[in-house]
Amino acid sequence: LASVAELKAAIDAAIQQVSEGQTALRAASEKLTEAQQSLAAALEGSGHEAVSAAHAGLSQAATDLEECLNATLAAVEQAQSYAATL
Amino acid sequence: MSLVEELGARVRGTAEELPVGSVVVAAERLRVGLELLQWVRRESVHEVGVVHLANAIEQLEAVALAVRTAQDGLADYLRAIGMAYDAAPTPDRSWRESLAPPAQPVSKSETEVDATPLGRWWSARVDELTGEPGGGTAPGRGEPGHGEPGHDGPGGAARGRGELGGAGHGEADRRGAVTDPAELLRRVAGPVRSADRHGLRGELRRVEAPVGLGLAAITPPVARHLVTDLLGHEPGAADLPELTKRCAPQVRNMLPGVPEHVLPALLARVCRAQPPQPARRSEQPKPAPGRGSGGAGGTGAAGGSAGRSGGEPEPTHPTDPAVTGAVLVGVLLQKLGRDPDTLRGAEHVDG
Repeated sequence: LASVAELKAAIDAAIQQVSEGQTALRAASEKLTEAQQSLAAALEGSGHEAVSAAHAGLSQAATDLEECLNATLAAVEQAQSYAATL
Repeated sequence: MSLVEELGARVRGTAEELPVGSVVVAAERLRVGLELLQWVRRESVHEVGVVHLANAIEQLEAVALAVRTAQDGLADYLRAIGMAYDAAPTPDRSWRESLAPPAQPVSKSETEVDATPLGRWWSARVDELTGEPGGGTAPGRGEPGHGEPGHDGPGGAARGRGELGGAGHGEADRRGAVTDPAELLRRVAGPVRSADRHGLRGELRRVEAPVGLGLAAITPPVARHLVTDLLGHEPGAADLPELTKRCAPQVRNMLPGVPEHVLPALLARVCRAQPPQPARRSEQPKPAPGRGSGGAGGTGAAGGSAGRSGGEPEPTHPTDPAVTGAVLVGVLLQKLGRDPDTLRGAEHVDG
């Protein structure tokens, strides 16, 4: 079995990786928002099916991204809680 | 420029700026975190966020799919308005983002890793993977040896000798160690090119564990980029046999101790194909694989099952994909006749 120090170190390392992932997620979220705004301005009034698909894709991506970020926050909280009990 | 051309340029610019690279980077980071937490859970039998993180990675697969749907929609629109040239797909640049440091440095006060225990764990596993016994000195490296093959948990070898908390016997010499996984990736390419397993071991053991583990997050996109150049097209599942034939011998030569399933799983991720069925506990004497990756969404991000049923594949040792990925990149660079510095930055790259 691993020692407490090893478990804590592994959890810390995991949280560091997840934190970097969260940074990338937030950057992605910002880019998505910018893309949505840019397309809304450029393609306003278009009824083309492909444009609707693009809008829907971006909207879905933004929703999924938010849920993903929330899941990572929950994971980190749980990992930190466990580490605190060690 | 006509109004239509201007519109086409704007739409294409937006499509190019969609955060495919950021999603890939995030997915790789989360997966490394997941592998570490899976190891913790295996050792402690406590829920430590594995399920949440596995769900997050699955969500990220959905994000990747949705973004690609949007890109496809925009490409269709460009073709519809007569801008077929602008609708051409842009090269995958996610590998460059994977090599870049985080946009906003993570707060050290919150995430500072006490690397000492993990350092021994990392070093011991590197010894096992490279087939270099602990206790020896890597030629020309001035390194104290470490570890006993056969231990698969953090600090296994060191703990067995009562070294936890000590500074000497189990510690690798960290002098000259890099602190950036991207730089480590470039350094590892040297000994891989010259088939210098001692040198490879020395480069890997010298770094802190979090730096080494970071290789797992950056190597898949880079390997995909290099494989694309090697094959002349973006790799898919059909390319797996050829890729395995061309790369596996060299990788296994450098890493004789790597579990059998690790490289196939890595290559499957590079090709964005379904990974081969991992070995089950009863089939594999030592902890190994089960990385679970390469989802249909294309980021190759999805982790394996978060469950722990009896038939669950053994968790992958977090060190294995990190080291194997770095060696694979070194092998690919050699096959392409490229210098590791071509990975240094966009200004040096031909991709």
